[in-house]
Amino acid sequence: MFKHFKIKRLLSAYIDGEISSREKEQVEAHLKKCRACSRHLEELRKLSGVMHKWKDEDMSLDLEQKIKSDFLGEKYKGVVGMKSKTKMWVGLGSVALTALLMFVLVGQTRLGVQGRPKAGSEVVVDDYSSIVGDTYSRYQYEPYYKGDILSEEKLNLDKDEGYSNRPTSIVSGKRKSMADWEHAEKELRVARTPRTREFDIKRQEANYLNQKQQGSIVVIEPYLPAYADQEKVIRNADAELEVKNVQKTYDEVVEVIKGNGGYLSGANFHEAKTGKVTATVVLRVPNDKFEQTLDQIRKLGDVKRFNIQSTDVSHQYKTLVTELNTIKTVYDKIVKKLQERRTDIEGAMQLESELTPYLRRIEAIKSQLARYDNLIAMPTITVNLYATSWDVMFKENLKEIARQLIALVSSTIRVLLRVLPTLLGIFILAAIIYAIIIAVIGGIKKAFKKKS
Amino acid sequence: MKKDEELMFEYKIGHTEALEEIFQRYKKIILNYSFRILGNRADAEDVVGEVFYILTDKRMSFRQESKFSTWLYSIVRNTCINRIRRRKRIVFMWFKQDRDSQDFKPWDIEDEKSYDDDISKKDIAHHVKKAVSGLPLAQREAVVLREYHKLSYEEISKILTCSVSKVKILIYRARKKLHKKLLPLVEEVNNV
Repeated sequence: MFKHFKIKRLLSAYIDGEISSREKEQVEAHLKKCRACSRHLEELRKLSGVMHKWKDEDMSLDLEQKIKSDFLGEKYKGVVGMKSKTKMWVGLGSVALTALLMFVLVGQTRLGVQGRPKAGSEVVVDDYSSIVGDTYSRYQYEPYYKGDILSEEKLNLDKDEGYSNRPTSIVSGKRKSMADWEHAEKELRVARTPRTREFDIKRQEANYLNQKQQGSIVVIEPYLPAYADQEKVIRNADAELEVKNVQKTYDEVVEVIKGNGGYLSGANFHEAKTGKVTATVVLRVPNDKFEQTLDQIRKLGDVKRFNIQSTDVSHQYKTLVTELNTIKTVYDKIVKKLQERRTDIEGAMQLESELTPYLRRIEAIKSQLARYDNLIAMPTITVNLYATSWDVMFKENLKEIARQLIALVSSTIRVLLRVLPTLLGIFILAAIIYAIIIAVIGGIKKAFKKKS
Repeated sequence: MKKDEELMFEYKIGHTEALEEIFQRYKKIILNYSFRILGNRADAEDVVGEVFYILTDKRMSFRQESKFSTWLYSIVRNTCINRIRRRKRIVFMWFKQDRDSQDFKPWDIEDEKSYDDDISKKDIAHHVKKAVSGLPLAQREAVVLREYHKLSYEEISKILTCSVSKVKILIYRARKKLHKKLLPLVEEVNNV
């Protein structure tokens, strides 16, 4: 039974003659025995005959004519017969040629989109760098954009200003004639020469020599300040730290002060509406522990700002000491006189009243010196602490972010607008060149064909 | 007589007359194959045009060592399949049929109507056409290539890009269905 079904399945391939000889033998042997299979084979053959009742159709003359004219006619020979690869190469070549052409053209008109300006017209500069060339490093001038008008006046101003390290005043200029234009260009070159420190020093030297030769130089002897025996320097520092937890860091700062034998001079906590917590800690530490303390504090957070200031008060100190000594001498003399006139009460009283201002002055100087001593011995360190989370940062910088985003978008649009006409030009030119090349090749092919 | 492949070679090197010869040899084959697959004369005619366009455009992609007829049949087949897809899309767009339904019938409504009268009911060709169209696409392709174009199973397998045994199965199933549908009808018509 199984074999019967297997054979029945093979019958379809059998009538097509698409079975192996072994299978064929099997089928033929089975057919002799099985009447059902023989009948099925007969039916299959009949089916093939029935299917052929659906006759082949002929192509209509219209369609034949149309296809012939479309693909076999005269117009098909030649151009369209070009290989698609050839077409592609011709296309690429056209684009490259156009790009080269544009490059050459644009290169020649680098002075601006309009090219070199005509006499008597206003100069509209596309980009300042295109005028002055590459002599000047980019950071030293503000770029000039198309639409800026260069004025001679401003050019001169800049030239006079000359010495300034970063002239930015040349933003625009007006040109009246071709000669002016040449002039303007030269002036720009001069004004924009990069100025380094070496350059400045050389210039100073040149000026100095020049003046000396003319005999107008006044040589001033150097002023030497009176140095104190021991340098008296007041030092203080301030630092700004960004920390995770202000309270915790504050405690750590206090620990640092204690460890270094200093004291807390003042502290202030503040929480802003945005959630930003800030604290200011003012502390004093012994002079010899100053650097050590600063190092320790710097490690407590992310240092955002750090500043050490030194004020040399040696001169003031010395002056005060000298004054004090002088007054002391006078005072001593008066006291001596007073002791001599011990019996004359009236005279003694007068002298005593004379002594009072000296005494006051001495006290004032003393306190001043003490203040200096204190400041020198205990430098002040101001620590600003703040903690910020991301959202606070974002809130605070929202305006700035928005501004920068807008700037980005607008600059992108500007660039696109500037590039778009060029791209369009390239495209149109490429298309024209492509069409011409295709036509020429087609023509040549046709001519050859006619000859042959 | 030149072989198809020789003609194609001549055409490739620029003899357009060779294309004319190819056209004469294959115009009927292309038309009838596409007609039997698509079931629509107008579409079939369009396919002939398209096939010749592809033939001229892609002639360089024909590899000389392969058989031309197989290559051409593949082009016709692909063009037909593209057409069926496009037609399905259009129909779905207008009637919002179920996209997944497999029993899509590519027949013209007009065709149905014109054959609905009594005379055409006796027309066996009409029944054959209907039965063939009722087959799934793969079976239809295989059986048409075998019955009407007398291609070997191996050639069919190359055109349909499947194995010979798959072709065998496709043709067997197609015949089974056609047998079931057509033979009773034929008996009936003959008896009338």
